[in-house]
Amino acid sequence: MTKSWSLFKAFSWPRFIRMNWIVAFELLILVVSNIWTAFQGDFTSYALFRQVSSLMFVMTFIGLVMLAVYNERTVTAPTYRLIPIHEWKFYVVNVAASLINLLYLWAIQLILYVLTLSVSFNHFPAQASGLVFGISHSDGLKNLTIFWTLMTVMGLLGILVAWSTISLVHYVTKSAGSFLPRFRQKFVNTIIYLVGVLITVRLVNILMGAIGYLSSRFFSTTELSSVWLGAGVMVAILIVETAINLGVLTKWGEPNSN
Amino acid sequence: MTAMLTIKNLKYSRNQRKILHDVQLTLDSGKIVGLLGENGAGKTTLMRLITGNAKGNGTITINGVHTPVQRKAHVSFTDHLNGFSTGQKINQIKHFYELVYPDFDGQRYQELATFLGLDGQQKLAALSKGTREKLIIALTLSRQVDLYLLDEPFSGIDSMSRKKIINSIIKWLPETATLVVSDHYVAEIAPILDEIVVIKDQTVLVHRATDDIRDATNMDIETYYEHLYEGGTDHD
Repeated sequence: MTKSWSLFKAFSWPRFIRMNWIVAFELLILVVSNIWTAFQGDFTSYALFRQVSSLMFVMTFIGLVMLAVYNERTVTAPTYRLIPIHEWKFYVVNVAASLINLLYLWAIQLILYVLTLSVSFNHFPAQASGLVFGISHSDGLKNLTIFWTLMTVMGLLGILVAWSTISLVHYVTKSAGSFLPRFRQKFVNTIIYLVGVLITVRLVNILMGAIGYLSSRFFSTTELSSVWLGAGVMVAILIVETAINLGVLTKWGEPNSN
Repeated sequence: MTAMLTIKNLKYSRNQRKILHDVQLTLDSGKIVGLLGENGAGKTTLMRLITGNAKGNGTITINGVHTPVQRKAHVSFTDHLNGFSTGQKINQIKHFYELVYPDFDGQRYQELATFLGLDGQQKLAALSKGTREKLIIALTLSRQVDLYLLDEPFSGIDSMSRKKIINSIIKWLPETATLVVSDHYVAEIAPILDEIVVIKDQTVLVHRATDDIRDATNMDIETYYEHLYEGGTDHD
């Protein structure tokens, strides 16, 4: 039997390389655009910071999508499904490999953010310092910690639910071939896609609500129950979807045939 | 001889289309078995069912174990290398196998790779069909398991490569292990086969020892196989 750790290493390596490609691409954009700006005589460290701040979201999104593709491709590729390991371990290791690599990408983005921030901090316009830090407020640092902790938790949960929803739709539509003729599969698959879209819309709602709430309460220490409620809903969705995914994967989920 | 593979009452449908039904088969250890049948007969599906990658109804037992995850540990099968990116090098794929298969024998792989002329620095995208098949054979035979499955290893391959592949099978297949090799061309592999299993009409039509066929029918394996499709042979 294959050890989970060995499988994790095997699954992580190609994803790690991809994440590094994203970082390399990001650095290339930064270098080229800043050389161009410097050439024009407009370079400032604050402009560099702003560039990093906006690029990090784009790169994180690209990484997120790429890892989602890896998640699905791993489950549908016959080569990987021949590995002698329990389906639930396979599923967990697959998601864990993507999650760790996403965290790695986040860490790199954070390092870039902090680096450019520290270089450009003294050149910040006054209103921008307040927006970025909120440190001028008496409880700024404490609130900042709470804000980012909750944002990270919500972000991670959101990503996990998004991935498990994609898997759910994918597994169920693929498994329909075990029971139904092709025409009925199309009908059932349409319904499943609609349910998937509904879950996604609901999820985005929760996330947006949480972000809005956190932003509005940024300087306040009052109760954060609605944020935790949102997190609870996402955990519940995640548990239910994971259970369904594992059930479908074990019972009917076949990899692609050639 | 002990039963290496036992299949009972196996059936499999996809999109409500019956692909295999009522499959009964027992293979002993230490045999090289030809799994024969025309295109689309269900040879690959049967292999996928044996490995646990396809989910049918019935019982499949390999050396006493029957759950899909246990079977995967006892059977070596490489399904067209799907899942690897085309930019990956042969050495990276070998490394992947070493990581995920505890029974992968790196030494045996090196010997096989040298014999088959595989260059570890070559990328998957750059491999010809023949070299790809050689890689599949090297990876499959480098695991130390009870049952090896090779799915049409000779399709689209020149005769020199075929001979090389056949020689590698003879040289590196462990004596106690069973090899099932599927094909719809019989002539090339007939000399190394101990038994043949013919899939026709969505089930196992014939399972017979090759020596028995030659003695009883006075035909070579290829002629016998062709007669099955022409309806000229009594299957009993």
